[in-house]
Amino acid sequence: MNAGLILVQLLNGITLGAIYVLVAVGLTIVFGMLNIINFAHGSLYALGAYFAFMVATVIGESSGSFWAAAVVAPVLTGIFGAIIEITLLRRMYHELHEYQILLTFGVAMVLQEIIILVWGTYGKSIPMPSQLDGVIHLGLFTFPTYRIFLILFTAVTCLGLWLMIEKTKYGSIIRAGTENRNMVSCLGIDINKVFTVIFALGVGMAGLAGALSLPMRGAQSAMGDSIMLLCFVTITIGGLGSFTGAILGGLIVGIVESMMALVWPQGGMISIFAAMALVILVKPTGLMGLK
Amino acid sequence: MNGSKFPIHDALGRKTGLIDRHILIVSGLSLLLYFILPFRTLPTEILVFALGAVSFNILLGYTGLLSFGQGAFFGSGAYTAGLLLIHFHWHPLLILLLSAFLAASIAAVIGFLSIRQVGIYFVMLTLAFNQLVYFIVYQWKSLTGGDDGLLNIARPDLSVLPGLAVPLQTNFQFFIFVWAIFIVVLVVIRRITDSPFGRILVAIRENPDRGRAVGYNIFHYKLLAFIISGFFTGLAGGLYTLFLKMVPITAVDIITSSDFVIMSLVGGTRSLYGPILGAAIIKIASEFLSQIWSRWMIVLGLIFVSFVLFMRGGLWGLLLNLHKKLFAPKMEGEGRL
Amino acid sequence: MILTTKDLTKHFGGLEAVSKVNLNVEDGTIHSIIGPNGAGKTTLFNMLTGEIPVTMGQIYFQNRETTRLKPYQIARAGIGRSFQQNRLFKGLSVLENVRLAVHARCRGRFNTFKHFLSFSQPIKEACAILEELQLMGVAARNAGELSHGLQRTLEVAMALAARPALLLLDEPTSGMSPDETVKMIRLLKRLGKRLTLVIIEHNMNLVMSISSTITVLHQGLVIASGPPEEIKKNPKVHQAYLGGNLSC
Repeated sequence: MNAGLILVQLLNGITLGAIYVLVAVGLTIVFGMLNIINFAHGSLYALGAYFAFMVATVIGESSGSFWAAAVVAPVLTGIFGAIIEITLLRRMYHELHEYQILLTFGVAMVLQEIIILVWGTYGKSIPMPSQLDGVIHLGLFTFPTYRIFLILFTAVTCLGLWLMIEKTKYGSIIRAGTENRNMVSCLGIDINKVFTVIFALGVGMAGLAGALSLPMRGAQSAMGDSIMLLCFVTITIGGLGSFTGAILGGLIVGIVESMMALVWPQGGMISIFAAMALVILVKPTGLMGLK
Repeated sequence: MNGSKFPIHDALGRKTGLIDRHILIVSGLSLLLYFILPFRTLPTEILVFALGAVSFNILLGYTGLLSFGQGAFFGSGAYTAGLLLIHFHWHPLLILLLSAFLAASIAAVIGFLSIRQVGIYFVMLTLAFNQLVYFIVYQWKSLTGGDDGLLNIARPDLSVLPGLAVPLQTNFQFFIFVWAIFIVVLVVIRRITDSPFGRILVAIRENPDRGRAVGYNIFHYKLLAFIISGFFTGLAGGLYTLFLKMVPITAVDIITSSDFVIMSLVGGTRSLYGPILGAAIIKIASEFLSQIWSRWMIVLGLIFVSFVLFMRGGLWGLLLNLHKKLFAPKMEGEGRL
Repeated sequence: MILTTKDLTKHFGGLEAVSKVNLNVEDGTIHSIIGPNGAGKTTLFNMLTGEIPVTMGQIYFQNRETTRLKPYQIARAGIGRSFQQNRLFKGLSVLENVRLAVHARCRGRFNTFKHFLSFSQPIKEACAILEELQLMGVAARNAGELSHGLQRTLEVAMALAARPALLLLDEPTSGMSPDETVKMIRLLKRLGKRLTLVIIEHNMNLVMSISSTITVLHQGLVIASGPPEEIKKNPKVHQAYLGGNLSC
């Protein structure tokens, strides 16, 4: 165990964390604004990865294929999400949480099977984009360029998203809509459209995460389930509905997962879920959640 | 009762004995499963899962608690039975009882911690605890066999008197054993749900704040519901071990928890018998449809979604409505929680 | 005094919703609490029944301190409550609603062995309550299907089920038609003969005609308390309502 190894694992943890952050931010935005917990969020992450695979395969071997996929896949996922929101979710906003959960759970079931139907059960992958293939030398060790890119990209995306929500007019509509739907409707703004956009945005984030993780981790049919649970841990620790909480939570989960592999490999998942239970018990609103 | 002109049972339903025609019908139909289905082990599996689903529905359908972590109790019961069968050669009924008690104890702990929260937090806590139990089981290889599970478990015969034992070795013999236990447990659960305690669970589902305001300690009732559900789920788990003669790690997986949720919702959460129907339909469809189309679960998912949206009464509710339309509409109170 | 509060206060973050309220309710009276919207009346009730924690002060019911008791303990102690927004078991029949409320007091609450219909006592009492409130006609209907006026009446029935010595009613006539209101007033007068009632109301006719004492709340403070004639003439009360309807 040397400093280099620890640093590499830390960076690996942050890389993992970046993916979790993107997914969690999407889920938390949807919860914070629509008050709905989307159990299908993980499947949409998977869908993003598979869409990216599809786009990259269609375009074929070229240095632009990854970038095209990284742009198109989230958009496709977002559109998919918008369809789900309009046809299904919209009916459930006044219902009990339990039935919202059950609905999105059912959607996840269907999506999971559709993914296998279309793309089969074997894992898929695409090669790293040539611009990002390779390693960066960071003093004691080398670290894959792609992962650095992922970390930086996530940071920029989150910043951009935050700016949009906090500083722009559209963002203020979104924020107002969560506090008082009726008021916003009275102002002549179509609240239904706002909610659809928010949901598509949240789901698009998951799709983006999926697309970005494709060269690094590949796509497997079960990837939706595993990230869904970790995503729950993330937003629980960070705080349901909290943007900064999702970032904090994602990084914590990623780093814990990575560092545990060094220290107590068997205990990684156990620690993560124990931490989740602990947070709900002690401070259910999470680290960054409101009182 | 008090000279008023309307019958009480219009408003409250009719009082039923422990065994009435509904129980007899369910007993008969479930027994028939063995002779109708072309599979020798599927009927037993159906009954085991039906038991788990009915136990789950005590929480969802009656109390309004969406517990997504029943796998923790089912698996605990299964592993307890497995370990006891491997290390001791006790009476199968004793083993089942111990499995149920252990699962109930774990349910007491998880329940105590989870019930303080409501809504989404509660659901996620049950998920978290299920995952916790899963990963502990997964890592504790020396005890549980980890990924491989516990294998080569012998199924003992049912000793009745010293020297006299009822054999449980053939598919049919074991099916009858499970069927008998299933019916007894069903009668017990039905009595529990028809008791004052059961009515309070329904009150909790309908309006817990009102329940508190009239003097019920809601926390106690929720906790007891959890323990009772855990007990019978663990019992189902123990039966599962006896059935498979092994304990797969899937017994404690979230997948099993989801199974109970799906079965209850498809069958119908608004009645005691709905989950039984759901378990049967899904297990049978799984066997048949998976051979026709490996992605048949898309259809199941779509049905599930439409039930959540439009038909909370599930298949059982559908059948009940049909029954009412075909025969004179009588308010029997049965099927209405 | 069946109910007294000492300097009862409630803070919500920076807002003082209820300020040092001293309430004195005499046994066997009808005591009304009035005040403009946002005066803190329902918050006061919520503290009395344990729904929200008290920031400062004490509550005494029948000379026992009940400040920190939970709602179910308050109900068992003998205080019944109806709510501003109906809290009914909407999917259950009217009779079942009241029966459940009655059974909370009776033996066999935790019983899991006998059919609930074998317990005839709660059923008898529930029927009696429905008779008194003229709800027997809808006893078999689901509470959620009732008209608003009948639901409000059922709310009162639920509060009565606890056989309370004290009944707290939060706007019992809200949303009711004039006919229904008349019926409710008659009912309240009848109940007032054998129970102590504390009523939050906006209907001044009702308040003035049946109350023995009126307490007026404004922005969390008690600005006046006394018999109806005094309150009618009180300038502070007039001011609080901004010249609104106190003349009946």
